[in-house]
Amino acid sequence: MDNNNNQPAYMYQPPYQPQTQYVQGNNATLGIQQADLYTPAEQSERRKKANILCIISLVCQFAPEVLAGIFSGIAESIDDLSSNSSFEPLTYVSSMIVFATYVASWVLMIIARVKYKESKFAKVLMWVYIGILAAGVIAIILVIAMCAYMLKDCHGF
Amino acid sequence: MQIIIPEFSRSPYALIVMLSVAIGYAAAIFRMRKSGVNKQTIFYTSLLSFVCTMAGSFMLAFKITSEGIGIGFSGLGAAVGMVTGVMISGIIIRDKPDIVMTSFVVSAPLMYGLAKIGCFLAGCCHGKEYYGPFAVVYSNEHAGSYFPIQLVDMVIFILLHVFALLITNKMKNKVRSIYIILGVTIPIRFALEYTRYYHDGSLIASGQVTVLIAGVLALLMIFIWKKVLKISYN
Repeated sequence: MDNNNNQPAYMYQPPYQPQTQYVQGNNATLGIQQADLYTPAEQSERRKKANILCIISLVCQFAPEVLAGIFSGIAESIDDLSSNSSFEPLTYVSSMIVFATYVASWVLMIIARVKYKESKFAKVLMWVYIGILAAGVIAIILVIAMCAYMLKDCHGF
Repeated sequence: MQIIIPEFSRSPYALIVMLSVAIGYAAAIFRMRKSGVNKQTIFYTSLLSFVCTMAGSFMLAFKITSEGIGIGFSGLGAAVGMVTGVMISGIIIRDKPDIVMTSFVVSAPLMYGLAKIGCFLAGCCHGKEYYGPFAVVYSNEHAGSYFPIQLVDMVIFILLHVFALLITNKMKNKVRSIYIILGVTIPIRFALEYTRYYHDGSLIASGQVTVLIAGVLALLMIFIWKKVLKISYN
């Protein structure tokens, strides 16, 4: 086992400091605490940067629906041409792109929330995403329950 | 002695899997709070890892085809998704990332072990045909008498969770403890595949190749995450 004196170099504080603070790499915490110290020009600049992140995040959040439609259309047209049951590589790649875009939207929103805590756009976006996620999870549960119910009543159809 | 599982009018599988995930997350959050991780860090990490877990679980089993959109779940995809979410969150927030990662890695066997109760009751991923003591008998679409591998899975993974808790509490070097947990979990998960009904009897079946790929991917991600965050215990 390791020596107890071995501490990670980047984070731990002496025990007498009740408020956890991290110096290296934690721009977020510093940003939150010093938000009021920014000059109006700096605040405007920060707002701009936060808004850019939020807009890219919004695009990424809703792009999967559009991309899914496009890829489905392409897959269907390829099937029509080749008469194959499906075009596997395309479906895998398209699924990966759709999910990567969705995850990227969350990552960008969290970066905006952490780095620019004062941004109201980022805060609203976060709760909108949480709402959409919760609605999505409920919808999936309902669809699975509905399918199970229908299959149960389906005798050999 | 046989274990007879009745046919349920409504399968408890989905409910048990969701409860297992909720319990695993609660355990990880409790551990992070106990270790003094900031509330903001816990919130964003849990949120992002949940999104990545969902995305990862679907990514390996969710396809857009010309017939429509196919939906399914993948436990391995979920595990890789969870590690990805915690890794990204650690890089963004940088608040005790090793403790945050350890909390989730320790909770993963608990989630998997508890989720196996759902598999046990539903009859999915059952063992090979077996008529000895403790054979599990289903009368649903998986009708038959099988080796109770889901129960073995459950016990082994809950024990793995206890083992993970013990070594992470003892070791100061959390990254090393993560490597040890993964190093023990991957071979066990690989070996358990031999008892599944779908194992074709070959030395390495396709399911085991997936386990190895997911395991190597997780180890590689932890290695990159450690390098990016420059975590050292000197």
